[in-house]
Amino acid sequence: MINLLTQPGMEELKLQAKQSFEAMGLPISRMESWKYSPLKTLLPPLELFPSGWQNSSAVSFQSSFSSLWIHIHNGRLISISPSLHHAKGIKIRPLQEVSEEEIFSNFSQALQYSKDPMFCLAVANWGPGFVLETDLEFKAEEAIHIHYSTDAPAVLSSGISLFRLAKGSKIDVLESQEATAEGAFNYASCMILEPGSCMNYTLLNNQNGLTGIRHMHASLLSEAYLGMHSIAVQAQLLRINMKVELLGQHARTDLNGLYRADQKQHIDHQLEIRHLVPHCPSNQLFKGILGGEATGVFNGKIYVAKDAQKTNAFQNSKAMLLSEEARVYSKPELEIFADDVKCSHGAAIGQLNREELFYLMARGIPQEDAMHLLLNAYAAGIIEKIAPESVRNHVREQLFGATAGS
Amino acid sequence: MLHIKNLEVSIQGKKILKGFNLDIRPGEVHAIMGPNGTGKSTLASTLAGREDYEVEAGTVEFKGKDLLAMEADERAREGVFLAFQYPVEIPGVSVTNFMKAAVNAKRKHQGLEPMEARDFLKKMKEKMELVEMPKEFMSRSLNEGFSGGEKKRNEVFQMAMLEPELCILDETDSGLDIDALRIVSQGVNKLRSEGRSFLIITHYQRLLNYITPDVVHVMYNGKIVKSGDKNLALELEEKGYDWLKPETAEA
Repeated sequence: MINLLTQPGMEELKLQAKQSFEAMGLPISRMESWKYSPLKTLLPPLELFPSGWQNSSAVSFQSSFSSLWIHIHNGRLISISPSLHHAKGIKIRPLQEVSEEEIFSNFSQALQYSKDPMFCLAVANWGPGFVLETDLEFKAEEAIHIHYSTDAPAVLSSGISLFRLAKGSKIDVLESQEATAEGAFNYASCMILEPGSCMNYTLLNNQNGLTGIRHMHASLLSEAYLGMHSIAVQAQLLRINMKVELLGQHARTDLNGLYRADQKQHIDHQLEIRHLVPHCPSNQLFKGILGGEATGVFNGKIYVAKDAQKTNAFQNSKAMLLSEEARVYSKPELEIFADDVKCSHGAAIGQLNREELFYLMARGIPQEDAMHLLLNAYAAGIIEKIAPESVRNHVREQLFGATAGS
Repeated sequence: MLHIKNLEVSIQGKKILKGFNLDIRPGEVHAIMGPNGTGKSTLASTLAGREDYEVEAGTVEFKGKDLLAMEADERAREGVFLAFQYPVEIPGVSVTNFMKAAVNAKRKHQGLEPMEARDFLKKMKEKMELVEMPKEFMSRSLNEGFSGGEKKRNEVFQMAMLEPELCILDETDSGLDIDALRIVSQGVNKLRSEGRSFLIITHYQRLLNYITPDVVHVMYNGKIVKSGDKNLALELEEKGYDWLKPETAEA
């Protein structure tokens, strides 16, 4: 357990996290939330506590998407674009320049996540990530591009980034991942959204063969909004944990996802939304497309505390299986202790509609193209939810090519 | 253009077409009428290449080629068009994207380059006017939320776009009110040409008031039992189908 009440020093916190991790070990299938993704057997042998920061000789990055970008390499903040560096209203600092007191006073809530071994591992390896903060009422006009690259061979690269959005501020983030075949990652982000602030965060994992774990942990105060969109395509082994705590009334969150896996690829999303106060709406919509011998996992938990009356929480998980050997494990979990709430969940697993396929083919469209049209239409329902438009268009272009029209 | 010889087709072991014969020459309009459950739609689906329809015997030659050896998409690119009795709703696929894929698949098959965007849109606009489809249909999802009449107009619109040589209309008139029937029929009539043949499958004579056929066939129990000119349709309208049934029973 990470005991935050005693406010330990950074080294002590890391040590405790390390001890927690060691007590639990790498996830095995007996752990409920890791049932279908037992990393102990799925991950190749990796150094979990690398000594020192893995750097590589020549890494450079420049975003073609936004003038505001951050580059994290093997968990370390290595560059910030000049425009972002000089941007008014946003401050980005390397984690090591931020005082412990500041981190604890701002992020203790977000760091309280002691039950997950991989999160503990990320904290234990706490290193030179970054803290991003906004000024009061600041509204960013351009989305920020955060690019993670990982290339340390035989090492599980860890990293932490922290976000604090001040009252009434608004930013949009596009995150992309790039990793070499031997590079694996375990990155965590913790975010505090102060009253009335707003963030859209899109995780784009579309590089073939990625192996990694990504933790997103957000705490929302009153009237804050978080839209989180996970686009995960062709990852080798990807686990995404999203945990959102609704701590202030009228805070809202939308979590959406689209995953596509083939061959023996494995993509797992674990969501947890905690409704702790009244009058908060939350929505989850996830769609998966699985071919070959791929595995998809969706586990969506909604917790509604006793006092969280007038909660509206909706969850919908769909998956399409393209082959006999593809698998999907979809599980809703609702824990509701309040009595005046509206909650619903739905899970549907199906195959391509043969009538639709025949209709397209009867107009001369070859089977493969017809399948593409139908799958793209299926995926479009998620893509359309991505905000802002610039990120949505970028994702569409990345997935469907530059010619993708409406 | 189309030669069907002794066609026998079954679905899930049940024989529906039992030695069906038909010849259609370029430019001809044939109507097939008959009571429900007699195999009319099975014929349409078999010609279009729908799965689950098992051809047990017979041949179908289209423009000198073995139609039954082709997959559904290949048949369409060769020039066979089935106007569906129940057009499928496909959310998320716009009419424009769908038509672009279909038109360009056919062009590729013919060894042509994809159509220029401007020419394509011009053609779309022109053919939509043919069936009085409003412009906003271009960006709508295929058939999604379309009324019965709109769906059938959309079928004729697609026919106009793809310029097939054999058009099969499977009960296109069913569920249409008089106005929709008029629009659909007018669209079909404008598409009639020397090189384009039609096979119109219908339950009622009503459609044939608008589209004048060259030949009318009566189908019963899996085969054609009587053929004649357009007056046969009127006779059927008057007498119903019952008077034809004993003939087949004896045969």
